[in-house]
Amino acid sequence: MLALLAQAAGAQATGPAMSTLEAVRQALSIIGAEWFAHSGDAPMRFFTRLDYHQYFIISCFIFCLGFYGVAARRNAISMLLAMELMLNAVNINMAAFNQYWGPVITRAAFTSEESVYTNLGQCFSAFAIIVAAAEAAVGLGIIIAFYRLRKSVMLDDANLMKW
Amino acid sequence: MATPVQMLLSYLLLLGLVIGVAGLVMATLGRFYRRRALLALLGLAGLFVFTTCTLLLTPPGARLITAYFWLFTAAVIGGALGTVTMRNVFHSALSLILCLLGVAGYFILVNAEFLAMVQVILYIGGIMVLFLFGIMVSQNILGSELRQNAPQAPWAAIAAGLLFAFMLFCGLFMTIPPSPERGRVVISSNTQSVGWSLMATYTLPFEVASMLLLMALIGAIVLVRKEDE
Repeated sequence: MLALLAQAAGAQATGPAMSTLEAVRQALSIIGAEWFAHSGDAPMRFFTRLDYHQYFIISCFIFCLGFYGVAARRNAISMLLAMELMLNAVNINMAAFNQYWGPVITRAAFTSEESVYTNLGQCFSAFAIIVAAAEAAVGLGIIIAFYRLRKSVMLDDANLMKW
Repeated sequence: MATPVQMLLSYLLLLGLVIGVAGLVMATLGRFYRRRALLALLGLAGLFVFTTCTLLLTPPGARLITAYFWLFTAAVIGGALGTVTMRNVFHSALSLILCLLGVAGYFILVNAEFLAMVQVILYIGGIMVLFLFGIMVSQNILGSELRQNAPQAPWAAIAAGLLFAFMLFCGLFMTIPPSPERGRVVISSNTQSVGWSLMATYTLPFEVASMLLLMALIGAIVLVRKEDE
């Protein structure tokens, strides 16, 4: 990466007439955002050419929002809702990557001419949904038992084992 | 290379997105309560500009999928933001339902129709209804005047931001092999193929998962049962 940066700096120094736009494009292409750096026919490819990148970035964002919710909320039910967000982020990623790399897995497994579209990621997402259902049932059971005990669902009140 | 019209459209696209998101977010904040109609209108106009420019820049064959993708993205991100920021837990659960509907749309876009149906029926119809019942049973959290964030919320936001930056860094610098040439891809019916996989290839995980569900069912009943009878 350092080599890339040095190369870019050298190119900027020696280039005879580089517009600001070109410089911005080059800088963006260094950090990997090729959609903004427009390697093809249209700039802002991020918004117009759908690929697995968009799904990846959005699922990252949703996962971090879920993490924030789990860490910042006082309410146990809100925490469970945020946990559902994190599980869904993982599901988006698995389904999207399955679409783009579905054929290659089967081609490695079977030595046939045609590549069969495998659905490993989709099966794993189905298992994740099953586990989410179990987690929601047990989590809500614990919350309702706690509510019977303390008449509250705030996690501040769960201080019995606090030293 | 991009023509000047394309360059203009693409910067207009970014401008519209920024104005749209900023306007809609400011319209929901309490501070700008008196100008919220104006801000919402501005936000909708910005999003309209964004949509138009995006569709004009997209190649004609992919316009429908792109439009649906950004529609579902708006639902997913808006729903997720509402889930973690709303004060009323009931509203929070409702915006999580919006987010889950958007995820079901994503599943349809990536050829996972079975998962989309499972998402709608099982997630929204089962788990979220369970959550809504749980919220109604524990009544005293419904007040919107309650403070919902713990004192460590700013630190949690910082940690989440750092995590997001780290994940983007890893994802963008990761050397992912290019998506393979499709060649002759045999795509059978999605539900059929998932069913074959679950029943033939992954039979043992399937059985373990059903055992887990049974254990969760019994455990939830035992936890919620009253002691004194």
